[in-house]
Formats: sequence, structure tokens, C-alpha cells
Amino acid sequence: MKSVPMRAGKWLLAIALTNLLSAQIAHSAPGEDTIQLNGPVKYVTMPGAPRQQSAGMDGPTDIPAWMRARINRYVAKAFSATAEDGSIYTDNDVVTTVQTEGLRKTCVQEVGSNTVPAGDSLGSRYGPQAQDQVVVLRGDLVNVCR
Amino acid sequence: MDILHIGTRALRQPGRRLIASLLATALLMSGCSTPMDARKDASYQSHAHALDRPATRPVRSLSSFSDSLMCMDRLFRDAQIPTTLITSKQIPDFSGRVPVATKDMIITAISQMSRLSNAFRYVDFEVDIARQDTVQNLTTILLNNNQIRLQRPALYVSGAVAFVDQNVINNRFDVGTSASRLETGYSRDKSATIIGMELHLGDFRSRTLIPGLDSANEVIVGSGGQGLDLAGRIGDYGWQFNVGRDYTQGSGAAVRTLVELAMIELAGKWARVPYWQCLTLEQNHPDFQRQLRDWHDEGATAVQQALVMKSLRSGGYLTTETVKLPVNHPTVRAAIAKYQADQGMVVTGVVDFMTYERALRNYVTLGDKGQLLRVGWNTGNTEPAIPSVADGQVTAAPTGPALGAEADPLHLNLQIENLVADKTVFEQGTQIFLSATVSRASHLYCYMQASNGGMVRLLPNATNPSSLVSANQTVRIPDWMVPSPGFVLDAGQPGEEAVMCFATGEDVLPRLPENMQAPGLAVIAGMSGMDSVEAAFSQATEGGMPVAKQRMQWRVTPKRVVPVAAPAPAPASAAAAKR
Repeated sequence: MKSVPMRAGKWLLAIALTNLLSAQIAHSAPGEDTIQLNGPVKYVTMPGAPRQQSAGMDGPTDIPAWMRARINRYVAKAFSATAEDGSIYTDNDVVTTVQTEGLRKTCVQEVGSNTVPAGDSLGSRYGPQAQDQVVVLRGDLVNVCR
Repeated sequence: MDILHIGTRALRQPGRRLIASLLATALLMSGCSTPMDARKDASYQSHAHALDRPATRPVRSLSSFSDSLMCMDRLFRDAQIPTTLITSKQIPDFSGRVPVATKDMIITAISQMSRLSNAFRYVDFEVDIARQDTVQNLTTILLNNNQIRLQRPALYVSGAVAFVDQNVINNRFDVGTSASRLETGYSRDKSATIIGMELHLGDFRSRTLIPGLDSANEVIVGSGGQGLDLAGRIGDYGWQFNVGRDYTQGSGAAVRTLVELAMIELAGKWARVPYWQCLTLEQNHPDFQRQLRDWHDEGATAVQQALVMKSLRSGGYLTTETVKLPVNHPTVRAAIAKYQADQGMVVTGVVDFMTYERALRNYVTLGDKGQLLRVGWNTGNTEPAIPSVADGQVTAAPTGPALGAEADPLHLNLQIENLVADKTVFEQGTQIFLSATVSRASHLYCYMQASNGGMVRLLPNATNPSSLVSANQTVRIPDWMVPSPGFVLDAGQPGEEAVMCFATGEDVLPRLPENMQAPGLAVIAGMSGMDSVEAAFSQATEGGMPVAKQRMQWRVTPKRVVPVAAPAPAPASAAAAKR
């Protein structure tokens, strides 16, 4: 790099003005420890294992509080609403089919079908819909498929 | 989430239901028979440009220890810790649950501790064969041609996100009721998760971790939710109401807190500075920002602005006259912008919560019960009784001037950065490195006096034409960390040399004599000796303008002559052969 001395030659090298766009600090600037290379640098040419991707943290529950509040209301409703014979409505809404094909068996348990229950029961409030429905069963649901 | 649903039985009557069905069918058929006209949506779509923008201003990412990093920086500057090269290993997440750029947070923490002090310089050399980019490819090319000055770190950071214990405690409460006309549901949950981090400092040349330089901390992140669902019937109308609110403290802020704390501990132990002084700040209180937010929201906008302006008055950014100007006055906005830049904030020039928090954070102290208390101000009045130390609640007042008090004088700190024990003597030809910091944003002018008395202005110059500098960053003279510093500073002819810097509240260059307004890095005609420059500045800053100055001088000794080694005598056999 070409250094241009000061205009006032007697001005004693107090400031070495170099080309303003290419001035470079020489060695031994504070905080420098330049590595001296004596040959080409070789890297490991094979890519390493991909970095492990972290997933997010698990929440305390999969269901947000506002939805659980709604479910709580349904549960309370399910415990209060009974049919004329004293049984719960959901007993009639569970449809189980079993298909067999050789040794392979498929069990389908349809809970809360799109069939509109008659009258002013809970299911009719939102009408028939093909979307997933929140259905609260009074008691446990056990699906045994043999 | 709010859902309000009102149902009616009106359409259940057969006649009306039929009419509604016919209307819907007719509308559907007419809609499908012709293509939609996109032009009719143009007016609506035109809002997308504006609505696509974020609705809130970006803010600087702060943790409870951000002020501690600034404190460490000042400690390093005061102790004149020399610049040390440092790097970091990747910081793996062994829990697999914290997708956070931990290594980059370490780099940021190191940088924030080096703004004024230049204490650390990060070596960013990483090769990932699987992810070759421009920087990596060019590095390889230049390195193999010996055209890159790769630096060897002295220190390295090692560590990991050691563990995440999820949902260590988890409470849940659910209840529902059902009656003939009203149904209710309520849910509440809360949980706590612990994130642990280990960081160590190692000596790079031996690839050994330095004993005692370890930091193992953990922090709790919590989450909680609350939901209410109501449904009922009023006459023939059914109604439903659902409301929920949740909070989840993210892992990003938690890891930044751990990283900053760890880096303060590691750097403080390594440099042997009293780092604990920086960990006892009121700002380290985990509720500090939340409490400030509460106080901010309690007060009216006018009070918030007045409090911030009083703080800026105490900081010297506003004068007794300018503090009376409206907050949207260009002078006040410029002062706010300078303050924000000095504090390392995102500069907006307006009084927002972040500015309120930064401006008032020094006027908060801990009470005897560990609670945060305001000192000398309140949220509803700009003229509170001051101070409140004597009211029995506050045990100690914050250091520094009271809110609204006269500002501290402008302060300038000039240091020689050469790594030598005696910084008053330099051999001819030695490169000299200086750095300057100011206590608040101001105009900086630096002059050099050669041994023959000739004067040159170093700053501002053609490369750095602006004299205005921020208090948030050191000014390196020349800047040896940029590719084009503009000049290098060598010890000249034997004798006494000096550099003197002046910091002023306003740009005084136009008020200086004409010969001193010449371009920088050239000999100033008619000026001899630093005293003449100092006199010119005294005259230019008359009238109470804030000014600070500092002079550094050294003696230049003649260059030592390295004795040339005498040529080795020729071997006897060769001499004989010559003959």
C-alpha cells in the first residue's frame, strides 16, 4: 500500500495520510493478533451432522382456557340433561360399525353424528354441521375392538 | 377471545324458512353465473398497503440486565481494560425445547459491554460446509491467498442450554353449572417451567476452560390462562358469551436474561472488576419494567411528557429555556432523539413508553420491603414533593441528580489505547491509538500538535465529516476497526506531541477563526501550539455553552537503530579454495 507523506514534509510524520479510501492500520493495533498463514487452509470437506432443531415448549394443556370453559359448561349441561327415560342423550348418538376384511378389522365409532336431534336439545342449537363438534359424554367411553 | 352469539327462532317458522331458502338460492345462482369484478374490490384492497405495516414501533430488546451490561462497559472503560479477542462455540440446546439463537445473544452481550471500552472484539470465523454463502466462499478464497488477516482469539465462550424442566408445577381449576335458563363454565390454569443455562470461559491457546470462570443459572418462565363461558336464554332468545385470556412467557426473553447475566459474571470475573456493582441495580428487579409500565399507564399523557422532559433537563439534553417548549417542537424532538441514541434505544424522537422507562429509571429505588418506589416524582403530578427518602419507606436515594435538577457538566474522556505500560513515551514511527467518549451526545473536535508546534485537526475530517457523536459509542482515533480509517497516527519527530479534544453542546466550527475552518488532516496555517487552539475554543464557546476538553501528550524518542549483524566469516575451506 502506497503511503503519501504529509504535504509539509517537515511536518514530521505526525500523521501519515494515506489514500483516504484505502488507509490501513498497520500491525499491532489494539486487540489484534493476526494469525500467520504459511500455506493453503484446508477444511473438512464433508458436511457435519445437521443441527438439532428445537421444538417449542409444551404447554400445561393442549386446550386453551377459553375452550375448556366451554367444555365445562357442556359437561355441566350433560350432567343436567337427561332423556325422558332418565338416560343421557349421548347414549343414542354413539354408532359403532365394524368392518372385517380377512384378518383385518376396522372399528369405527361415530360419536355425535350430524343427525339433528329432535326438539330443543343441546345439539340442535348450532344445527347440523360437518365440522368437528365438541361432544361431552356422561361417563367414560370405552372402545373395545376385537 | 370474545364470542357473542345470539340465536333466534324467527326463521324456524315454515313460511319464512321457505322464503329465506328461495332468496339464498336466487342470490347464489346470480352470483355464480357471472365472473366477479375485481375492480369492485380495488377500493377495499387498497387498504392492504397501510394495513400490512406493523401497528407498533419496534423497540430495543432489553432484559433485566441490559443496564448491567452498560454498567460493565463503564467499569471496563474506567479500568482501561485492553481489547481482547473473543469468540464463541455454538451453544446447543440439549433440552430440544428452546429454539433460540443463543450464540447471537452472546455476541450482542459482548458487543454491548464493549461500546465505550472496546473491551472485547468478537472473532466471527465459522465454516459450515453445508451452508456455503458469500462470506464463507470469499473467506476461503482470500484465506488461501493470504489476503485476510484472520485474528486469533484469546478467549472463547462455551456452554449449553443445559435443561428445561417443563411444567414443574401446574395447577388447574375447572367448574361448570347448568340450569334451565343459564349455563356457565369457568377454567383457570397456571404452570411454571425452568430453563437452565451453563456458560464457561476458556483460554483459546490451550483450549482449556479457565477454572472458576463458570456461570450456571436458571430462570422460571410461567404461563397461565383463564376462560369464562356463559350461555342462557332470555325469553325466546338464546345468547352465548365466551372470554379467555392467556399469557405465556417466551423462552427468548428468558434465555437473553440468562445469557446477559452469565456474560456479566464471566467477563467480570475474568477482568477482575467489581462486576457485582452492576448486578445490584434497581433495574435488575424482574418487575422493574412492569412497574414502570403501570406507573406510565396511571399518568396522563401530559404528565408523562413533562416527566420525561424534566429527566432530559437533568441529563443536559434540554436547557432551562428549551424545557418549556412543546414536546413536538423540533428542538425537543432532536433532544429526545439524541437521548434515545445515547441510551442505545430505537430512535423515534417521541415520548413513548420505552423513553419514559429509560428517562425515569434512575429515579426509582427499592423500599425496605423490596418494593419499587418512585423518588421525587409521581404519576399524576409533575411537581411532586422531593425527595421521599425521609418518609420512612425509602431507605436510600438513587445516586445522581434529582429529577429536574441542574444537569451535570458535559464530560469527555480521552484515552491512549496502545498496549504499553508507559503511555507518555513513544518511539518515533510508533502508531498511536486514541479513543474518546462523551457523557452525552455532543460535537467532538480533536487536534494534534506536532513536536514543532504545528497543528492539525484530526476530527472531523473528510472521512468522518460530522462532528456530532453519540454518548453510546466510543470514538476511535483513528478508527482501527474499520477498513478505511482515513489516516494513521504515527509518533513524529522527537519532541513533545499532544492531542486535545473538545466536546461542545453545539457545532462551534463556524464560530472558530477562519483558518481553523479549513478541512481536517491538514496543517492549520497561523496556529502554533495547543494553547492557541484552546484559546480559540474558549472564545467560540462563550455564553455558557456546555464544553469539555482533555489533553493527552507524550514524548517522542528517536527511533532506535537496530545494529546490523556482522557477516559471518567464510569457512576456512572456502577461503582456501578461493585462493
